[in-house]
Amino acid sequence: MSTIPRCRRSFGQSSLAPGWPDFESPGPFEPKRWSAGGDEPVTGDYTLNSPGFLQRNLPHSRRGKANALTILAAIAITIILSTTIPHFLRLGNILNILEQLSILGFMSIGMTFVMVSGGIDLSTYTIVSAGSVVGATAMVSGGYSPLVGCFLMVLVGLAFGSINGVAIAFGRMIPFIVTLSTMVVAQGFAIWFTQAQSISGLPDSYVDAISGKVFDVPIPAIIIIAVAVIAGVILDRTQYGRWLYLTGTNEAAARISGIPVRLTIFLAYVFSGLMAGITAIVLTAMVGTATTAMVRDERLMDVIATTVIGGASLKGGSGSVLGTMFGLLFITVLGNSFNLLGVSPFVAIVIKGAVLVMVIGLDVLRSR
Amino acid sequence: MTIKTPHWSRVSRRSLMKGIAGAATLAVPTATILGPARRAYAADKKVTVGMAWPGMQDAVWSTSKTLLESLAAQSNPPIELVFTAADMDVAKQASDVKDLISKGIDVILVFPIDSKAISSSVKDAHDAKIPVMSFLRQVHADAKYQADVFVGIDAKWQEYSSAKSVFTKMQKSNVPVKGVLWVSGDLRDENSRLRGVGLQEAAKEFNATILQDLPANWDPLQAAAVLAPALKAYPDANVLAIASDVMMSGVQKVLQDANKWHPFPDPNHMYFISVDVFPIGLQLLREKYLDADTLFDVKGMCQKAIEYLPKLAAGEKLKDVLIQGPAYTQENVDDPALQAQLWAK
Repeated sequence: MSTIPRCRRSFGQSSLAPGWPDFESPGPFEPKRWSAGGDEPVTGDYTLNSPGFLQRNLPHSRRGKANALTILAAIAITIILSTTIPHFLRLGNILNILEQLSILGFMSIGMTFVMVSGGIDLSTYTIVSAGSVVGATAMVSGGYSPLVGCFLMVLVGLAFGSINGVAIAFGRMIPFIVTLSTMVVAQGFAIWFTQAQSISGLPDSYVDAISGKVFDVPIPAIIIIAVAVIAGVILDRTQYGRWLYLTGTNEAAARISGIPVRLTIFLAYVFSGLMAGITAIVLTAMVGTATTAMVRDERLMDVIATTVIGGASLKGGSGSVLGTMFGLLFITVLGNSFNLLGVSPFVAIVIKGAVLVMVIGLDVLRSR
Repeated sequence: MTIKTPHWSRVSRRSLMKGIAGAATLAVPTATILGPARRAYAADKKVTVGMAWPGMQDAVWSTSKTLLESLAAQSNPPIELVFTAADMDVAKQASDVKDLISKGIDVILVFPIDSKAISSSVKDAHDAKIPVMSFLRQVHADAKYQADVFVGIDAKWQEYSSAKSVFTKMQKSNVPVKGVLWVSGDLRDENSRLRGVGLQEAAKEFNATILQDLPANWDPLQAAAVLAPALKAYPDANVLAIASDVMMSGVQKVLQDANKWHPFPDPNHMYFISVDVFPIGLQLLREKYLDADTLFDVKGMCQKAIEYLPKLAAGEKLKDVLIQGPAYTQENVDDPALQAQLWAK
């Protein structure tokens, strides 16, 4: 019997031959109760011994170590910036950073699912604009309640996510091309729908409920943390999460193993669309207006960088919501620090570009 | 079978998380308590201004930044400008304003990407007792929270002014307006939209018809791509209006290819309206290919902003300033007074 982890993850990956999933059972993938840790492996129906939580999460492989180092470096830089920059550690700024996490956060979580499946979603930021203008129009011009408006924002996100999912999972089209096309369609739709006009005059009940504060903590920060926990559980603790990792690691092997690969990929894009819809709800309330320029293409690079810093690979099969949240914190703190330090925007663009190049380089190094 | 973990990784992620959380728990309240209190503004002291800029990619944005910095350096009382750039992202501009508030600046000068969306940032600043100047783009009249003062350009008037002078010229020359082709900027950009409204108003006044709106995203190549088929679709169109000189090079190439590139008063001259007065616009006015170009008066705007900032910090009530740049035509292009107003040379 061999002792190997369940699947490839950002932490605790095994060193199996590349291109083969980390298990040997050819049958359907059933959820099993694993041992709580320690040196006593639990044997089940599989021909493998299953490690406990700590073993699964400790960085065994080179990739796992690289992921851990990346996250540690991001945390170290965050701590250095936070202790050296004036005004950084003020309560107001900390809450400001927490609130800002939500701008990229939902999209980054959605992107994590898609990247773990081995794909990419370039359309997420324009779906935000499309959802935002539809929901806001319903509330402002249609006189519908905020609940209906929010539902429509999510519905638009799910619709575009489904289009991506169907084309990629069932149409076997290339994710880059499909989502690039959807990006243009969603942007065009938003412009056509609004005639490039911003929509303001949103109901106070909606704006206050989403962008307000609870005990001085911004509600968007609470929402992003809640969504991150739920998404983390889905990716970490459910059968679907395991399907996603295995599909991203080796799609052919996953299919042979009885995993519904197409459904798995389809749902990843639908989830990304859902996250775009939630972004639309939160951002529209935070800005108090729906516009076609709600989020621009530069933010897409931030979303990808956030996810890759957090351990996701552009080649699929790895990544975690927790890692993405660290990446998100790093990117958000970096932007906040530039503004607090008064770094010239020209210089900031160069530094940010350099960080992105390093992140991509890091992904290549981790994959070797 | 025993799982052997590598030596270096014996510190578990849980322990690591505990350490980080502990450090953060101690650091945050300590720094919050020890951190400097928010600075109160005194009239004789340096004024720190947070500049929420839409981006740095555009010549107007970067030029106005340079002009403002140079004027601020000569200002008395001294003015320190802290720039942020939002890359034309509405959400990022909102978070930039929050960062500037966290920094503890005295005044916020915001160049809004969206005239409605900026209202929530104005509210954030006002909640922190920081006055706000809106620069170049006014906070929308319907917006709930208004900036304390606006210093900017009348974008609608710009296109209107250029168009009016060309339609007047055609009227005087007894040339009928057979149709206007409109190469607009970015559909999502409010200045572009307002310039379109200015053109519509002038066209209505002179009973001229705008045949087609051709969005070109401020891009000369895209301008060429959209104009070429429109010229074929409307061969009788004899007026071309563009939203900015930045698209001039693409438009010129298409007009040359369509044999419509002739200087005034050639009978085949295509009457040509533009805005901004960049060097290429000046050159084409002198060569009589372009008929009117209205100045984007960045200099005037920056001077007024720097004059207003210390007053705003001191709590003075100020009136909005809407700068209407002059229209440059083939007749007045070399006027020394107009030449002195140019910023893009």
